[in-house]
Amino acid sequence: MAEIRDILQQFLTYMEPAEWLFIGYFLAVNLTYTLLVIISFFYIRHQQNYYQVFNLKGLFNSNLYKPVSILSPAYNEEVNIIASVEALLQLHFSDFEVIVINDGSTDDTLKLLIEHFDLYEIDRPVELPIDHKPIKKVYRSSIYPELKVVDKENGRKADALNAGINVASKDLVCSIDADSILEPDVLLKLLKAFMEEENVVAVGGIVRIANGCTIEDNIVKKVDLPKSFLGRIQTVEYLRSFLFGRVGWDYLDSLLIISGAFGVFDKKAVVEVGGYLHDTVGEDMELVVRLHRHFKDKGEPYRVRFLPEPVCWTEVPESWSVLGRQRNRWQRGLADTMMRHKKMLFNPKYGRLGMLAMPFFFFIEMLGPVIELFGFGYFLIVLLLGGFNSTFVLLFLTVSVFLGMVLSITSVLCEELSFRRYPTLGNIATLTLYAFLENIGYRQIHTWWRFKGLIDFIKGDKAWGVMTRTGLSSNSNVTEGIKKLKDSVSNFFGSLKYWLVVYGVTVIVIALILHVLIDNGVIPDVYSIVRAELGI
Amino acid sequence: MDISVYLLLIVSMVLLGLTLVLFLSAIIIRVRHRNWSAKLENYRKTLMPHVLNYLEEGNEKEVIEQFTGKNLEYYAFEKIITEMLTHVEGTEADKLKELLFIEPIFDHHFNLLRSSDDVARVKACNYFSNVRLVNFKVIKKLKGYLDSPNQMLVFSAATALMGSDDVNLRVEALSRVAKKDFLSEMAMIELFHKFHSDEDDQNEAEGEALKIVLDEQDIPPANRALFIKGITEIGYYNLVNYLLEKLQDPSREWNYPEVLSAIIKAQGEFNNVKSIKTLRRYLDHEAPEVVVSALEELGDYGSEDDFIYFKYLLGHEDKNVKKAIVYALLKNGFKESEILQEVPESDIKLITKYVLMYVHEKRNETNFNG
Repeated sequence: MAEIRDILQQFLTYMEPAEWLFIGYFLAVNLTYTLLVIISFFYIRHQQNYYQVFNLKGLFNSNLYKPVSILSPAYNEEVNIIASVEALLQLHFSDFEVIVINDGSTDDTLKLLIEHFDLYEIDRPVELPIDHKPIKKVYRSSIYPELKVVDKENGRKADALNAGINVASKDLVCSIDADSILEPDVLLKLLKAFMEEENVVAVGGIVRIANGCTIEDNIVKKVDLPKSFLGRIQTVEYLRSFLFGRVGWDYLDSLLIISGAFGVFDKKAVVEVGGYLHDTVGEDMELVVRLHRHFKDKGEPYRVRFLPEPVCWTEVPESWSVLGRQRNRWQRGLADTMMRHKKMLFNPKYGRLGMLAMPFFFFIEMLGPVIELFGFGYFLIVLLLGGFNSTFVLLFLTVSVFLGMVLSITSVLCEELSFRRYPTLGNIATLTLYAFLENIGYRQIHTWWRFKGLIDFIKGDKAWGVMTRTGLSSNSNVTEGIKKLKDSVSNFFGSLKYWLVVYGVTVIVIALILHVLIDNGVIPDVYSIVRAELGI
Repeated sequence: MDISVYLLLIVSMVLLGLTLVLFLSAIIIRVRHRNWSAKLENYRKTLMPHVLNYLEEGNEKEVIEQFTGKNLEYYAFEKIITEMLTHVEGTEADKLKELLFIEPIFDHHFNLLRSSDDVARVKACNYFSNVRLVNFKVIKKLKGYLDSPNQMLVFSAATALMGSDDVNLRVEALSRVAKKDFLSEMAMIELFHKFHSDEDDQNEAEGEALKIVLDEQDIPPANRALFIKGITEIGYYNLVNYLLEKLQDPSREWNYPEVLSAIIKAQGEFNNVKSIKTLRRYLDHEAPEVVVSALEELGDYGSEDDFIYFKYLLGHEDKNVKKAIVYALLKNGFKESEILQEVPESDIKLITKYVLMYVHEKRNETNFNG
């Protein structure tokens, strides 16, 4: 026991100089986020003020505006595919086509599409400027001429999107996930970016969480918060990430990420840079960074935009293991993109992108988990060894939790000032509560997932990982009920370790608070009193 | 107490306070919004019967009486009327538009237009884009905002002016915004289409007025080309010969490739046979996009002499030119073999691809048309 204590003590001595690294990192992260919050707060208000300006009328009498091809890759989506495509076909926009890319599904996805939409075969495109796995057949619907279906050999999402781009006949391509639910006026709202500025090559919209919402015919009818702990935590995360992260980067003209769940790109620009990369798990971010790099290298004017108003709803994982795999993949994708484009890092040629956005994503988003994990470890060892200033430790912990909370609640406030999607006062209170709860346990687990993602990237893991979805439809039957029961049992044991971490962190925090209160004489040290009474 | 602990304690307190303030702000904003929505709904319930009554009997006095001067009323009134306008047409729509013009609403928006705040000005511009523009002072203000450095205000003011019945006023607005290079192509298309009135009898006057815009020298070439495309799309036939003259105009502003290309396409769209001779000259133009346009339009007229020259042009270094030639020849009944025998060995693969693309497009078009 004493030996372990010595080793830990030695570790602390070695790590002493790193204390400044932790504090520096802590300050850098929070200062950057605070700056982004302030920028976003005013930028969203500014955008809201001018929201009514581009009240488009004349444009839709013309063929000169930019029409859109919606690309929806589908792999084994037989359960949702018809409803999802039907919903896409109902979007409010004058000139658009929907291209479903059946990425070698092994279920009845294609068969259902052929039957339901009365598809007939048309010629495959002759010109294929972007590489992808071979296209078997291309179909068009005789009911909806604007619907095309591409049947191709299985690649991955990036490969399917590339095939879709080759088949697309419109100026803009909108890539979505198979489970994305687009609001009916989403394309009209996205067009605003192209109205406001010339040379826009990519636009992203906000992705909101559909879990907990009432969905009918693939349209969100009533917005509500998810019922699960993880769903709610992710709601706070998404609000923070989109409402001040991306809005802020958009203002600084340094947006590096457009979500794969929903983004619109200028087809010509995407073809020019060679489409999506096949051998990465972060193809959405990589494409955006490549577009930046390409246009900066050529010295041509361009813009990558984020608009907080066009909304796409998506289902988020509510099981710890699936969420862990997703975050692991995101981290690998981020690391891959950073390493591929490391030349941009601190390169003044790329302006704010090279000097601000890339360093932020490299040091804070990519390497952050390493520093944070060491920080947590260091903190834990200090607690284990005792002899620390408990008041100092508790206050440091309080400051870091409150800073995180302030940032999260500001995004809730931004939401209140602008879009007000969550309808009740209870929703606001719940979001605030989860902004607090995410710091206790979840944040540490999240850091671990990201750290693991980084290690897996170094090991060369490029697997996508199985993303099980529970589905957004409320329909269910007995078989599904039994399946759900089995899933819940397996989820319970699968998630036990994560809950143990959450409880563990909670116990540590409570113990620390008690320690401080006793140290400062706020509550009596019952343990010592009893020992004294017993004369021990 | 240790200074670091003291400092952390202060920071914790500040952050705790900030957290509470932010949370309470969010709650207060929500409560205020809820109250505001309730008031709005009440006002709507009060106002609606009077508006419906007005539509039947034309008595605007009782609508005016509903105003007590609160900001909410102006907002609600405008919202109700503009919403209703999306559902009605003809006389009823005209009557509703008249209602937007009643004194309290007009005065409120005129005050907004005169304010120093761009956001308020934009709101006023949006209002004036929905009403008859007859007030001289309003028009003067709107014209003034066309020179604003704020592109949102410029666009809004131009949009409001495009709502006028007076072609000269619309053309003045179009001419002034056309010179700006900060409005996007899409914004310009929107304004051009707003310039065009739905009244057919205005077409000729609009066409004539557009000559004034196009004669301006300092319009960026992209905007000039865009307007020509708009002219073609809307169908201002009285500009065909004017544009043909401009095709032969040596002035710099008429000789940018995008401008030439747009005029050439316009000649084709308007089926102006008189332009054929002039178009041929552009087959040797240095800019490939101009050559492509000329090829596309001449391909539609189908003269034997042209096709011989087209085949000769297959040696052109630009791929788009080669593609346009292949398409033009195939469209005019030439066979793949006839085209391929005119091209060097190195180009056979490329030309075959263009032939396949043409066949593919035609077949899909035929399938689609049944």
